[in-house]
Amino acid sequence: MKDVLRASGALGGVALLAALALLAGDAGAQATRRPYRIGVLNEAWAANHPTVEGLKAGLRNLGFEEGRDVAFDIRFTEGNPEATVTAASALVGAGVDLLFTSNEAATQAAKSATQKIPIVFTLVGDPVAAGIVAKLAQPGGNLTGVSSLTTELVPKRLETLKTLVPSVRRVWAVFYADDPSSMAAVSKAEEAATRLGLLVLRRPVRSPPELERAFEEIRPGDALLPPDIATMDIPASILEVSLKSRIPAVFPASLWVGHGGFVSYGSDYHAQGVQAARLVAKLLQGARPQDLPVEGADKIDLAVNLKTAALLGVTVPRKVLLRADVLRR
Amino acid sequence: MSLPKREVEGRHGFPGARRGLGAPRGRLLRKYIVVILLLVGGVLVLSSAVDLYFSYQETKTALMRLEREQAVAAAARIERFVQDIERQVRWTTQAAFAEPAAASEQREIDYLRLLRNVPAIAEIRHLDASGKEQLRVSRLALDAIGSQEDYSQSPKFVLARAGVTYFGPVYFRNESEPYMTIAVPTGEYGVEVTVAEVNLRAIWDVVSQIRIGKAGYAYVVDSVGHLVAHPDISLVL
Repeated sequence: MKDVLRASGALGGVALLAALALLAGDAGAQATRRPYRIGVLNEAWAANHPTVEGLKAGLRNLGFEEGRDVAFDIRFTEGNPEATVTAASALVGAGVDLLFTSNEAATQAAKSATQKIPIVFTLVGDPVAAGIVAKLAQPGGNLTGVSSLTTELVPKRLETLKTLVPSVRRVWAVFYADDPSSMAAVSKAEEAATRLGLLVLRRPVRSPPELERAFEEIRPGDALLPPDIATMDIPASILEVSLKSRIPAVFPASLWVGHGGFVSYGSDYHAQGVQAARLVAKLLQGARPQDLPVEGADKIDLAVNLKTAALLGVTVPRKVLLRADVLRR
Repeated sequence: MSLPKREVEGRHGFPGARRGLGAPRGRLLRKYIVVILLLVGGVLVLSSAVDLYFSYQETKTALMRLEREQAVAAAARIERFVQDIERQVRWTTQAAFAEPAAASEQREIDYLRLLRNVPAIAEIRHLDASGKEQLRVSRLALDAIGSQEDYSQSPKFVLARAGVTYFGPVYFRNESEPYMTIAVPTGEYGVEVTVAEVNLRAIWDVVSQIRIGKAGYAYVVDSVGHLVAHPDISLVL
């Protein structure tokens, strides 16, 4: 009897100890778990790119505290393609848990740097045309993200231009010749042009002199359709020509309207960061990137610069004013 | 095992019975202890088993109640989302002008406002009494005025014209964006129809956030049993 008692007592004790040990182990794991490390890669000129700020805000809303739950290793490469590739391998070498990229070049660099670490991309205008994912619904591989719908929204961009400047006929699509997404976008523009009574003229360029020559062909009364990607700084050059020669240009993002661009129709950068934060959170909680479909950008903005409109001699119709999400005065 | 052995001993070892008195008594005690232990243990095990069974049943009922509550709450949120959109769409359909040109202008302005205020609506169109499209305002595709596209045979027109709000089946845009068509009757006599294309990703988010315990989750099926929302979206697509 005593033996039995002793044995059961001992057993109980062991069980209790085991339970305590388990609990303690659990608590210890919770307290000492290091924050997830997110490697951020983009070609921006500063660490506080709107998509990165959006990501941070989005993660905060989802309960991920910076420093406690997540840490960011931000690499911005100031538009330098080689630096982007180097930074991508550096982030992979540093052993980050996840990569967050903004724009096509950074995403491609991250994609070639790792096939293991999950990558969440933003500011990719056409992930399929760019060869980043096989299908939007089943991205496959280690990438998923937010598509900025650049190609899909090209007709809308031309429509906005036509509404603002009904007299316009010829639209120049100047873009970097080796960029597949720009090509997809221009083809889409050509398709839509006839329905809008426009003529899209494609001018693929590879070098600054070619870019100069393309600009020389533009006549007053024409318009410009800048590409989404900043290779060779083409959008900035188009902005300059647009303001100098008073040629209306319709940009893919409101950022350009902030810098004096006439009008833009496209997804909001900050909102894309917030949207991508949901994907990031799911991946950190154990989801696999190949199971998360690529999402189309949620927030699409029409932005108009009224000062530039006045400079170009355009009266902005009521319809556009009503629709505009951003009006720069 | 020890029982028959002792009986045998008792019968044949008579002369030596006194000598062996202490040993059988000890054995008897042991036997009692074993029997009592077995009895007590058996009763304990039985009562624990009964207890376990009832607590299992109780837990199961409680879990089911919890799951049902979660499902009802999710359904309520989805319903609120859809009703909210339906209300917003209905609000645009109260044209204040009888004169067609003024009414059409007002309608376009209403639609533009609606797209600005309700991000989930991607497209809205107005079908006239004969089911022809007169106005389309879209966030993603080209707008159209007086396209005359014929929807007179389409269920969204037929049902909405009969006075019922039409909720279409879930479909996918760009392979991965869930959408639904909502159509409501419009005009003073309800003979025209307003059609909205609604992005349902907000519903996906509601559903994927539901967690019951460690492995519990929620999913949504439509009226014909097709999976519409599930935490593992790849099952839906």
